[in-house]
Amino acid sequence: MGLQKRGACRVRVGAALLALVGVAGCTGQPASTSAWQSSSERVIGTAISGLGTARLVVTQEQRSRLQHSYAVVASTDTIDTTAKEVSSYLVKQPPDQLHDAQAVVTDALQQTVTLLSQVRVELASPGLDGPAAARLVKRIDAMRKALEKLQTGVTTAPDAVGKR
Amino acid sequence: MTRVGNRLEARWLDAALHLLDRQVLDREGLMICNVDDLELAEDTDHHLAVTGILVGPAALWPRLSGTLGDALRRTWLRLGVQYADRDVPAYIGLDLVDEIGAAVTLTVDREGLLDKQPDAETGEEHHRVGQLVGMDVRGPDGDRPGRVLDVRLAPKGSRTARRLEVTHLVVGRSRPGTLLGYDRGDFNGPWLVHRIVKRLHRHTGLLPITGVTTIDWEDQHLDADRALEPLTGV
Amino acid sequence: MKKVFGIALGILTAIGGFVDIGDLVVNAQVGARFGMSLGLVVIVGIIGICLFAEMSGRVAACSGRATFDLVRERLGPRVGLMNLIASFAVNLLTFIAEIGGVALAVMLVTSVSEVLIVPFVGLLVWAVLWRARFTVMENVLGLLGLCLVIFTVALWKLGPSWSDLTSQMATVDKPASEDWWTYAYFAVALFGAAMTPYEVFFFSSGGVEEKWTDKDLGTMRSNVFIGFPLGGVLSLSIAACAAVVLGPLKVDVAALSQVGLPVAVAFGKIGIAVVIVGFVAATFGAACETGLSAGYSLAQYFGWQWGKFVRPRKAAKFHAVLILATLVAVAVLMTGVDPIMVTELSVVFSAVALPLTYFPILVVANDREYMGQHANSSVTNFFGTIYLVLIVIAAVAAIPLLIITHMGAGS
Repeated sequence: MGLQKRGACRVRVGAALLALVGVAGCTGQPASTSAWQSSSERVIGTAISGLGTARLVVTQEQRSRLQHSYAVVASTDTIDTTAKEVSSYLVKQPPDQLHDAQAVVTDALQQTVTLLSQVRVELASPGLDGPAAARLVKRIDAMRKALEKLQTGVTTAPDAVGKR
Repeated sequence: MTRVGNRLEARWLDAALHLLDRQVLDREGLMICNVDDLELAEDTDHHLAVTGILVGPAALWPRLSGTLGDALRRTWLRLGVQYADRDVPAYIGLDLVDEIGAAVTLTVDREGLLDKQPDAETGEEHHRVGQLVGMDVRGPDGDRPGRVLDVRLAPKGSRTARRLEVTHLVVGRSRPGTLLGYDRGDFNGPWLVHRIVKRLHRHTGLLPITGVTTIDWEDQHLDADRALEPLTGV
Repeated sequence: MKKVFGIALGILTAIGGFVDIGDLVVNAQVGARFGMSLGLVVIVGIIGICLFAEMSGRVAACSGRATFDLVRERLGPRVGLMNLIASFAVNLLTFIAEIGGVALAVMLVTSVSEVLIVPFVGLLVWAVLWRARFTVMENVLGLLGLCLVIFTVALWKLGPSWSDLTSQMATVDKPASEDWWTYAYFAVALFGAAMTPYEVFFFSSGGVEEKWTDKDLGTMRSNVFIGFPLGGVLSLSIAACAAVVLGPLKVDVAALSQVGLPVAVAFGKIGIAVVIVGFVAATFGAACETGLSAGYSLAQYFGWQWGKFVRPRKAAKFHAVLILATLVAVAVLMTGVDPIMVTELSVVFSAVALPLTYFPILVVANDREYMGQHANSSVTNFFGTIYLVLIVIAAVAAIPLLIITHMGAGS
């Protein structure tokens, strides 16, 4: 192939690749219900995951099976991961009919982050005794159940979410 | 440790397959450089022979074809615009080469070894094997057998006055797989790769250097007055 | 005792391929999300890296030439340069990630700020690369990294249903909540991680560092056939522990701290202490491996003297590259980038560079002029060709899958 032809061919391929990457990158605005559903499902899944980790950390710390510093780092990590996902979810634009649903999901997510922060505070302070740990675990389990219900609602009947 | 005998003591070797891009080691086994190109001396009778090893960016970047190679070469020149002989590569004379095997071993230590390539002697013209490889070959009767894929050399002369005379050119159509050596080495597989490369190179042949009538170094083509002979290996 | 240390090179290489910072997290992530259904991919990867590491080790022992020498020799300087650019970029990215990984592991025990730990780790890594003897480095890091075998012991202690785990692996029993595109993405990522080019660069160059000759082929093969399967077992154990403990809690693993939690459940504080030693040693070992590989590949392309088997002043350019790479790594990490995400990206890109590295090895291992009587048997060639096809498939599929599944986020 001549030098110029090869160059032109490369430019075309390069432009096509850029377009592909650009399209893939522009997933920030879910205009459709299914896109909103999948991103909501994902972020609720992250919240559930964070609570699951927190539950494990609390139970193991209470039974003195974790170094204190490890427990603190683990709970900090859950906050970091969950908060990051939540903040990128908050800036997404939901479809018009699902504004209420978005509000419900957002509320639940913010409650989760608050709970995770409280877990960290209690872990960081000296000693987590039995009753305190049991209280935390109860709250974590209740939050997880609520989130799981929300996740099912989002998947099956998104319009019903938020309507009381 | 190497399996191959010293190719300097064999009857022939191929420049691109056996010599170019090989590691150069000094007398103690320390690494010096790679064979970035080879100096090709053309005497008054238009006989070609490899007389030295060329080293360094001035030798390597011109070997890369296409826009990448051009860009690298231009950058190299631009970064050293104040130097007089920026595009003259470093040089290792063939008389310093002890053995050509898996690597090229020299007879001397590496400290202070590399100097700039000396000018051609009177009556001699310098080219590079890298310029010869890739040249378009035009056969008799408007035939287009392909491009120069490799250069077959015959070691001649004693240790101190060594020359690798060009005896044949390996000419063929496609480039991929030429450096794998399937067409000229002792290979037992893998079967699939062997078959594919053999098929890609079914038109490859040998052109004796005596069959080359003119070489146009600027325009990158050469004329042959006969058809290709079958490729022999081993 | 010498025999035990004789396989340290294989173990250290395997650590970089199976339990570096990226693999530690991805294996746990895969275990928690997919159970053992991706286990077969890890096994396919183990066989593949054994095959190619053995070939590259054999070439290094018989000819004294390491893998990147062959890449330029057999593919030419142009394709060799493209391979160099790709491989060096991946090596550097992984090196950055591994140093970050050491910092993450150290921060599991201390509360010293990251800003102080990262430069300290960088300095330590560079000191080891500059000064420590190659054998000392591989023995200490390789054997300390084996502390990660605590995951295998923890798995046994957790008493899972073994038949469930094995059947999930054997029948590729993917959980319904994940789709096949995400499965394919993780399959390519795990395969690419098991066979990253820097493993063969490091292994073959390490063989030259250890001055292997064709009399050492037995040692070389022990290194391969003990080291890599061991690495694979560690990989599978981490995944299984996560499947047993984290999976039921629907935990999605994204941080190193989550990876060690199953061991706390099994063994408590002592287990965690061993895990942390393992994490630090494995990530440190992987940092040395990727840093050296970056230096090896660059030096071998240009023909510079490389290696720790000569004094640093005899390999000045090689060590200059290592210093620069360490400085760049520390500088990048100080910007606060997440090392785990860096390594997940670099694994996918390294899958793309795989064919250009493995093809020359396969060819030269067959060259009788190079290998004499030690050239490939037809059995080796048969499997080598199959794996070459697999590698090309993975290379072609890697980037599209990365884009389609949003880096494994999936549904």
